[in-house]
Amino acid sequence: MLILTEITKTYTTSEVETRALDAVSLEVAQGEFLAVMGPSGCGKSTLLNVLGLLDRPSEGTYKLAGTEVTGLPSAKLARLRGEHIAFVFQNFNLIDDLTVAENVEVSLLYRHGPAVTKDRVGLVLDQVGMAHRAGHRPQQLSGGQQQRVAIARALAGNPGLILADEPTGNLDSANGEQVIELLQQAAQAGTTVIMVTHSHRDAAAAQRIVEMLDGRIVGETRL
Amino acid sequence: MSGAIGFWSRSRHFATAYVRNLRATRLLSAIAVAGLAIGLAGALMLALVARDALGFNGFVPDHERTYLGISLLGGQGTAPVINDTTNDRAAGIIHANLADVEAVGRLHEAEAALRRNGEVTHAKIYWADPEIFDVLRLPAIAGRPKAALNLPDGLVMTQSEAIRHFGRVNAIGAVVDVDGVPMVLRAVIADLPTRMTDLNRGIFASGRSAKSLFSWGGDAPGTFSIGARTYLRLRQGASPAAVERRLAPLIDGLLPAGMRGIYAMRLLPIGALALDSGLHPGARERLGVGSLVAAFILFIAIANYVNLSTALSVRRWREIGVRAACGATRGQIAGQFLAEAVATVLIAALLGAALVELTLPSLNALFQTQATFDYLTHPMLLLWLIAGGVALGLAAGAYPAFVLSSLSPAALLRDRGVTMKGRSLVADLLVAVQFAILIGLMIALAVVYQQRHFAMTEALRFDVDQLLTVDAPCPTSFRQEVAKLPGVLGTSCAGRGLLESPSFFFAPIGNERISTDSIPMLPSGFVLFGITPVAGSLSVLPPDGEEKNERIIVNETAVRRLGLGRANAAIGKLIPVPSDQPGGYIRARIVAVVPDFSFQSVETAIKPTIYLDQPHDGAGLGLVMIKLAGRDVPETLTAIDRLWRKTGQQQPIQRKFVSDHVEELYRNLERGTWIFGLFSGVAALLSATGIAGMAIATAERRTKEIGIRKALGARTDQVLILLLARLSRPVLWANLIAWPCAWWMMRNWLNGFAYRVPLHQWLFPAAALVALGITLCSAGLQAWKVARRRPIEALRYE
Repeated sequence: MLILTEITKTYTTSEVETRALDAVSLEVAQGEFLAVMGPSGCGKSTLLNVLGLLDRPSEGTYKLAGTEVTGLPSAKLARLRGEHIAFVFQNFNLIDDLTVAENVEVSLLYRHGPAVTKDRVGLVLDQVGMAHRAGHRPQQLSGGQQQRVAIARALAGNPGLILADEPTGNLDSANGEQVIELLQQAAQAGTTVIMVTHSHRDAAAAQRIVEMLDGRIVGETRL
Repeated sequence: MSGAIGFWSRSRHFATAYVRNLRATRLLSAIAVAGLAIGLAGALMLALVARDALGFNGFVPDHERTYLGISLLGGQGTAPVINDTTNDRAAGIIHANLADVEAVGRLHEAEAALRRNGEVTHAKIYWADPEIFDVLRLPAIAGRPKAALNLPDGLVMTQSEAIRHFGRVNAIGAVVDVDGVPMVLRAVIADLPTRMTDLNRGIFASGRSAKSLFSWGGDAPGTFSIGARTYLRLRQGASPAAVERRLAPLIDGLLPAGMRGIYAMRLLPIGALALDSGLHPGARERLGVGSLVAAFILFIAIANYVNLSTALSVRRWREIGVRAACGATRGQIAGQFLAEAVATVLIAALLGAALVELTLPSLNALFQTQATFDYLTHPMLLLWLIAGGVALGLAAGAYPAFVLSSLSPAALLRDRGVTMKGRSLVADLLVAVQFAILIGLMIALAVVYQQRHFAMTEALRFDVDQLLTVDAPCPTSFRQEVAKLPGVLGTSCAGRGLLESPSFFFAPIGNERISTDSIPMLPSGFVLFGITPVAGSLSVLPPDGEEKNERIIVNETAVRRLGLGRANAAIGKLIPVPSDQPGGYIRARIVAVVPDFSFQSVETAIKPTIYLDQPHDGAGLGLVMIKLAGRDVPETLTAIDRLWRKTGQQQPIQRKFVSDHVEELYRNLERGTWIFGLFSGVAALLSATGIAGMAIATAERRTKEIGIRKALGARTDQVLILLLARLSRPVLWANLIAWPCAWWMMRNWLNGFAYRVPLHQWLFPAAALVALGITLCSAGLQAWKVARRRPIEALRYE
């Protein structure tokens, strides 16, 4: 699904240069569930941003679904993001002004390709057990429910890759388990899932764990 | 944008997001929309007023090469007097001599008694040459207008006039007596658009009628009069300047010797009549000032919208991040915010149009305009409004859309504050310009108010309190009876020229001809005004006037301009004044010199003036002046009305307080005060909301800094001062822009008055202080709320 080769990301502010990613190479197969672990500030989130085409690497190459993406213009990157990638965040990032169904609909707005029916929103909400809350606003839901809606939003566009940034970070363990289960189901259905987490329990649900430290991959465990 | 869901679903989604965001930020959104609505209403109103002036006479075919002959009368050293009529004989001379003139025709304004079926109505009519319809080819509804006026009894009416007088449009052949002569309606033309033409009468009677003013036989030898509106159309490509040059010697041939070099005939395009500075002094300037003020208000409203919408967009950062993460390009995000801006401006335009609809009658009354918002009959107006709204929406939305679409989605999604590059500078700049406009408007308001107050008090130089005038040529019995009333201090008589435009002559002094006003007034008039001579005595003149004007009173300007030395030295000197003989002068002796005073506007310098010891103008026109004691005024007025009837006066009494006349004289200044007052208020309101928006944005941006300062021990008042000082900075910058601009503009404006107030320097810091006060009041609450926050709340962000 994706191949990173010698990816480096440096941030330069006045005279200080910070190396957030340092020659990271990684290959992830289609349908694989990968967990990325490491202490705060080790570059996990930067890696996720690069993988999600929200940030550009300073050096190295990145091949996504067979396309080399590092030199592409930002409009093309946005298009690729719309076609292949979906995100799940620790803080859910649901839009307060929109209902649950409308939040899910957002992921279909910018997606190119064959038209989907409106039923698609209902279908994915049903899949995460939130169909009965379709007309509610995010503030009316619990944290666990909000994260399930965020997963529904991620699933709606049938993405090839789901990037989850500490998806259980704000949840209690019961809700966290439900979320991990949903991600596992997505991976089983053929979607590649890359999850950044601090929780060893959550990471255990993945097929492979990558350890990061100071912007480098320092270890890898296949489960 | 092609997408996985259909166009309507997408549109509904974006509309929902827009409406819900508006609802969530209802107060500030309402302020922004209301500001835009007011700004747009002002611009729309001005456009409606300007439309009439700029499209003047546009309905006349070939109006761009159709001209009205006007007269310029002026001696050396004085501004020419301009009149929109010319000599009766000019048209004939033009027709006979100037090949570049395709057609020429005349109109003569008159009031006539129209009698039909025993009923008499008084109507304003034109006596008209048949050729007028060659020049002004107005569409005929029935009959042939030119052929109609070729017959001495021919009458042409507009359709409204035909209906008014005959009950139907097609009344061809109907007869009506015009000033006692039967005339036949022979043609009907379409109605003339009101306000958009100088042709303000709908009845054209044949100039060949024996009753026509054209049939009076012209000027007596040695005299020259004007009174005919002479219209002419030039051939394609002919130059009006060349026609004027060839016309000059021909017109000179009509003038008596004394008027050569003083009189000239000029051509004015009929499209430019409404804004001609000679015919309508100040009209162009009023339109200019109005446009500027409307543009300023619109700018403030847009700046406000830009600042508020950028500040409010903070709550949509997450939405932008999510959309970008879901594949939205920068263009799509910018497009969404641009579309929202256009929608907001269109809502504001709708509200603005409603505001115009509601307030137009009162504003027309206040500013004496006759603008109409006739979108039903002129649907183009609506299209223009929508097009203008879209353009303005794109302009107003461009900056926020650009800023928001350029934010990093990764940072937005992490829930941390992001920096909007250049946002602070742009916001400061917009607020500075807003406040510069506000300060400028406040200074303008103060100067216009001071000048008006000055014109109506100090500049008058005499006492107009409780001074009443009655239109009448000094009826002796009435005057004597009124003088006996207990509430009356004194009476006198004067010519109408005292209050209206006085008659003037060119006094031949040496080689110069000095334009000099001549006003008939009994010596007692000066006593009523509280004016005592600076030299000589009034008592040498007979109190009720003298037969021949051999002794006169002059003002100080006359002493100076006529070269008579000092006031005392002028007494006993002889100066030439017009005699009864056409073109002749007699020499009159100066018996008194009075201080300068005038009933004319302070815009014009007081002219050399002679006062003749006469009770009225001589042509049945005059004023009885009555000074009231100031007690029991209603009873005294009733008694005056009663005496008017008792002493056998036929027509209804026309009386007026001089103070009302003075008020009317300065109605323009009053309107100016209103315009600047009204718009300063609007600008203050909008600027206050602008600064409130900036306060919100600043608070948001500096949350962390405030938290750290408070955690380190800063007190609430210290943080408050810090925030207010930051917010006041652009307001202080504003003075750098406002002061020189306001000084230059108001200096020029005041220079338009012969007598004016000084441009007081204290106005500038005073306006700045008011602006600062507005800033502190509007931003204070928000700053106070932020400054009081507990540091833990502020630092929780990290």
